[in-house]
Amino acid sequence: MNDSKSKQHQTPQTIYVVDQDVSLCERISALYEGSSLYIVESYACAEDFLSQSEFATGCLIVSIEMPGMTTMNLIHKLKAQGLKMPTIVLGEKDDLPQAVKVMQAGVLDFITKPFTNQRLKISIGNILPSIS
Amino acid sequence: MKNQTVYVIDDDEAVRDSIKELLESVKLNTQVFDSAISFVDAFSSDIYGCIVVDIRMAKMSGFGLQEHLKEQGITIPIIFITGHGDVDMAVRALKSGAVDFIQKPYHDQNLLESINNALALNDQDEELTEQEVTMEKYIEQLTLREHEVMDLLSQGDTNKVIGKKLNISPRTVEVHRQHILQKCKVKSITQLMYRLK
Repeated sequence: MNDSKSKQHQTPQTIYVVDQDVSLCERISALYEGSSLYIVESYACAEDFLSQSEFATGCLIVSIEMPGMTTMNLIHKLKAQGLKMPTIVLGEKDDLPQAVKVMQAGVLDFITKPFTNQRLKISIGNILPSIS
Repeated sequence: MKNQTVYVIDDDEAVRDSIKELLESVKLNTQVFDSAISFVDAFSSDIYGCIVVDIRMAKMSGFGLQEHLKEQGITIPIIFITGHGDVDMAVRALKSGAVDFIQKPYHDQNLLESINNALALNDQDEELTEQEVTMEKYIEQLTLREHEVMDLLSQGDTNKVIGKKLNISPRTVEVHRQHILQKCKVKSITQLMYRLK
């Protein structure tokens, strides 16, 4: 299988962030600055994210509040395309039925705002373990 | 849905009675328990259906029951209901495998829908396993060349690219592709891949 030599040539994985909140996108980017394992790419809405021709391997962090296409629609669209994109949703504390709906759709974590950097990093680490 | 039972576990008698009445009105088999312990004592592995359980109960909680069943290797859809839940708890419940998490007071219709979805999962599981076995048999019928073509098609290669890789004409690749679809009784490679996953 993989031996330690192949570690030198790991392709970084991409953390896609879809959120209209620019400061949040910047905050997440800052968390992984200088990382050789992860690249962060941000988009303000689902349409922009979907307009890419190709998706790198990685994961998706998406806000529950979006202009245009809703988070649920985005999740369903990705599923329909058969795209493997482990997803974390960032949402509000006061909408339990929405959180449940999102988890039932196959999302791997739902993190309520405000959240600590550690909470997010742990969640990302769980769904995107670095290749060892 | 045949022969499935809804096991209702709640230490609140009014809730047990109300759910039992609701389920019996739609002809669903129901059994009620006043605690997770009494449920566990009553059954070993021959439970079939789904569980509706309150999170917060004395001695063994809803989560405790879920853990216990996992340890016993028993898989049965679990719906949590609770008067005390918050988003983090709901997320935790779903991550650990619950199929739904409903807050009290709930709408009867929502609970019913949730229960029916859970019971339908059991039917689906049976169907899926049969499908898996059949698909394996079909795959065994493929020739070596057809296997090669199938693998490359599943990666997304076009007929032209496959032709180059295998040193055959794209037309021949297409013929193989048709044979694969026929032998596996599917309409597309995407469908085949989905069934094989």
